[in-house]
Amino acid sequence: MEDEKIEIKPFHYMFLVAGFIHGSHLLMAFMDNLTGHDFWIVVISGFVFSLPLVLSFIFLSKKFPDLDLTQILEKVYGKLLGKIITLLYVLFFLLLLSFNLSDIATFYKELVMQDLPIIVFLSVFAVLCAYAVKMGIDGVAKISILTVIFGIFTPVFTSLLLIADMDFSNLMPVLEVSGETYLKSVGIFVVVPFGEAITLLMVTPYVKDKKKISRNTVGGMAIITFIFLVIALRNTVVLGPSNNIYAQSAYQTVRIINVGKFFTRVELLIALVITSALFIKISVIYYATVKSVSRLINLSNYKILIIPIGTIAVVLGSVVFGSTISHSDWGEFYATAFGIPFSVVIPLLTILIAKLRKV
Amino acid sequence: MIAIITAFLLIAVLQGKNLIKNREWKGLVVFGLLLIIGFGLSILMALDVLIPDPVEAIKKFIDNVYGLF
Repeated sequence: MEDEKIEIKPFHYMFLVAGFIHGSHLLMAFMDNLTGHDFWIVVISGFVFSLPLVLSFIFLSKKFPDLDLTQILEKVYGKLLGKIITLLYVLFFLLLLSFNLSDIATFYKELVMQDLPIIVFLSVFAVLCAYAVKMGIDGVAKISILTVIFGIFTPVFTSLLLIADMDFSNLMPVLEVSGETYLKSVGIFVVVPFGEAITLLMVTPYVKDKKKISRNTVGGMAIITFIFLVIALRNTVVLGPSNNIYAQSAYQTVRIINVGKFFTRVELLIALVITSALFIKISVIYYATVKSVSRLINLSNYKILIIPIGTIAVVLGSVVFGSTISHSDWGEFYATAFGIPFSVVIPLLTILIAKLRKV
Repeated sequence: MIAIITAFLLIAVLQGKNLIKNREWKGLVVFGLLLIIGFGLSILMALDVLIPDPVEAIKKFIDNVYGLF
C-alpha cells in the first residue's frame, strides 16, 4: 500500500502545532517550582529564543516540501548515514512517546486514582492514541482545534473566576531568580516544548499550502505562549509563595474556586485540558515513531507497526522515571542535553550540509 | 499473564491474517519481530523482572560526554 492521500489544511496545521506544544502542559508544574514567581518571564523568553530554532525546522520543510524528516536526512546525508541518523530519531521518538505516556499515566495515578496500577492508564491511553494514528494524522489535526480552544478557554475562564483571589504583589520582585536558573529554565523551555516540535517535520509534507507553513507555525507557537502565560500568571498571583510547594500548581490553583457555592470542583477542567493536550502530543509522536520506523526499513504500510510499537512504548512508559526524584532530575539537568542533538544540532547541521552539497 | 498471552495471540492472528492474505511478507516479518519484542517485554514486566530504565543509561551517557569537557 502506498502512502494514503493525507491533506492537512494550513489552519488545522496551526492548531496541530499549538496542540502539540500544549502537550508539554505538565512541564509547567516543574518549571513553576524551578523559577517561582518569575516563570512568566521564562515563558516569554522561551517563545522569543525558540523562534530561530523553530524557523530552522520550517526552513527544512520549505526546502524539501514533499519530504518528511527521515527522507530529508537520507537526501542530505546519503543513504547509509541518513539511515543511521533516522535510527537515532526513531529511538528519540520512541523515548518521547514513552516519556509522555508515563507523564499522563503518572498524573492520573497521583491525582485521580491512586490505587489503580499505572499499566492500566498507560494501556488505555496508548490504545486511544493508536486508534487516532490508525485513523490518520489529518484527523488528529482537526481534533486539535477543539483541544486548543478548550485549552484557551479553561485558563481564561478559571482566571476570571479567581479574580477575587488574585494578589498581583506576588509577582514582585521581578527577576529575583538567579541568572543561572533563568538560563537553565529558558533552555529547558526552548528545548522541551518547542524543540520537540521537530517531530512535526514528519507531518509537514501533508500540509496543503506550503507557503503558509511559516506563519501557521509561528501562529501556533503564539497561541500556546498565550496559554502558558495566562497559566503562569494566574498560578503566581493566586498561590503566591505556596506555588512552589505543590507538584501540580495549576490543579491546586483551580481547586480554590468556589463562586457562590456553584462553581466548585472546577479542577476537573484542568484534568481534561491536560488529557486532551497530551492526547494530541502523544498521537503526533506515535505517528512520527511508526512512520519513521516504516521509512527506515522501506515499508509502505506503516499502520501494521502501530500495535507492536505501542506495546513496546507502554512497557517503556512503565519503566522510565522509577521515582519522582529521577523524573525531576531528568527535567532539570538532562532533558535539555538529551533534546539538543535532535532539536538543534542535527537540524542546523542538515541545513548547512544541504547548502554545501547544493541538495 | 494469560490476559497478555491472549491479547498478543489475538493481535498476531488478526493482523497477521491480513498480511498473509495481502502477501506482505516484509511487513509480516517486521510486524512479527516487533510484536515478539513487545510480548517479551510484557511477559518480563508481568513476572516482575526488573527491566532496565533507559533514562538511567542516557543520564550516564550524558554525564560521560559532558565529563569530557
